[in-house]
Amino acid sequence: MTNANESFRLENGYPVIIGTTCASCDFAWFPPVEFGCERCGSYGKSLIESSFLLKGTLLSFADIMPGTDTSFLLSTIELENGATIRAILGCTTEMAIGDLTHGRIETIEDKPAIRFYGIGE
Amino acid sequence: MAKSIKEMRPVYVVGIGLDRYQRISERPYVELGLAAIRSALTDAGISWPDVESFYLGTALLGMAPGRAMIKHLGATGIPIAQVENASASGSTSFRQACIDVACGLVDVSMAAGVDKPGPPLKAANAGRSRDIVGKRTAPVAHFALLANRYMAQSGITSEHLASVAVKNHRNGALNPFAQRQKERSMADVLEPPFMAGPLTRLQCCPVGEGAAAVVVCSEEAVERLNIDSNRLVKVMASVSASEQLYPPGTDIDSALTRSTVFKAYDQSGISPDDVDVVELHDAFSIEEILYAEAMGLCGEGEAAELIATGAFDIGGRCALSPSGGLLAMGHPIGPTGTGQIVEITRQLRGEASLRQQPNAKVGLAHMVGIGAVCLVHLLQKV
Ligand SMILES: [Zn+2]
Repeated sequence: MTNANESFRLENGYPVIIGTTCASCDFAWFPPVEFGCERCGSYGKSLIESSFLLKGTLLSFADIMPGTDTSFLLSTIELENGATIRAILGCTTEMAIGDLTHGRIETIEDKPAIRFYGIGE
Repeated sequence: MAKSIKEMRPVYVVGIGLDRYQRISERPYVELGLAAIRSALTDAGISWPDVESFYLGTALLGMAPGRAMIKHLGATGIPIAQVENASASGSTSFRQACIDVACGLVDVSMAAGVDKPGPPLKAANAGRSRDIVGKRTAPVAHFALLANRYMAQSGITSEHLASVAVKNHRNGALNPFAQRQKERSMADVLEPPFMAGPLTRLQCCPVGEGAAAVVVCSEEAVERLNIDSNRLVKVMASVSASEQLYPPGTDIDSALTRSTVFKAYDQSGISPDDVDVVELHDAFSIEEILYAEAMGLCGEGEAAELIATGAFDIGGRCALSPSGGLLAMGHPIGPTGTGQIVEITRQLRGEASLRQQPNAKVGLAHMVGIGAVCLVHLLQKV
């Protein structure tokens, strides 16, 4: 299962996002970087496509436009490899900042999309 | 060796002008800008031909709006440029004018800002994306995430957060140039709708239209043009910086603010305790709390309680956002940073009327812009 622009997929049964690892400084980037590493300036062959497991720690979350049709729970998540991403929480149970979280690929409005949940969910 | 602005020719702010920040109207930008410029010239007691260079801070007007405006003052052929630096465009135009005078390229320069809001720029939105959200996340979402994180770490309440907006609306109610000129109670500020996380509508700045202009000049020009030496305000530091790579989880806006402000303190010999008035980028209430701490105006985790208990009111130990800040005075983008210099100059001259911070000697102006950039100026009464 992949999404339209291939930014995430299942790998060995685990959902991953496709980012970049810099071979020169080991930094992990999401979304993928194409033109050069923001940390060390390396480019070209130093930038390696890598898949990141959707496991991390919840740094923050906020209800965006609550009470409207378009409301959603936005979060900042630090993945295990150090990449920090913004993602939508799908959890129905209470979560707190600092909680461990994991992402799943789901079908939302007929399209694959990622939602993050608490560890028990 | 590289020099800071304080080690070069002294630069003085000698003229200030504003056109009221307000909701978008039918008035053309040329009219807004000219009103602010003419008012700054009158305030300085000089005329347009005395101005030797001109910088226009604007983010939303498209290519080359400057000459189409200033030609109506009489085409003097001076060098001009538009300055686009997101929310910090007006701060950057002020810095460019200061640099012209400090270097000795000209004796009199003008910085102005004018804008009418339009659709957000795509390049700017790409600045900080780390998301798989699939929909555009507005700045309010970014600051709601910061607010919730800060609240969880520090234990501050929604009332603490709202007290920033209560204070700034109270200040804005005393400012004839503010977009929002109505006092708001704690209950008013906490009233839904919530835009994102804990941020209600009145904790988010209005983006309207407006204009601001500032004249800066050298010592020679002060003498030659008979400018009132009792109203001089000196530029002590001008620092511009862009985002570096911080450790994961760092609050970028605070880290960038901290390093930029402390560079300005170092350059000027001014310490946080010396600062009497601050105009900062309070586009969202949480920002004032974060930046007050990043500026060293109080200890980490202390700002919210100090704001709630009046320490940063006009008349308190340091007046934060006496103009009403972005929250009440408004944030028309291009003019905002120049408008901060106008307010601080007014305060340091002792001409801020009902908003006057008693005995104000030193002022700090701070803007961040998406991208991210940060601009800081320190001004001092001569
Ligand atoms: Zn690198």
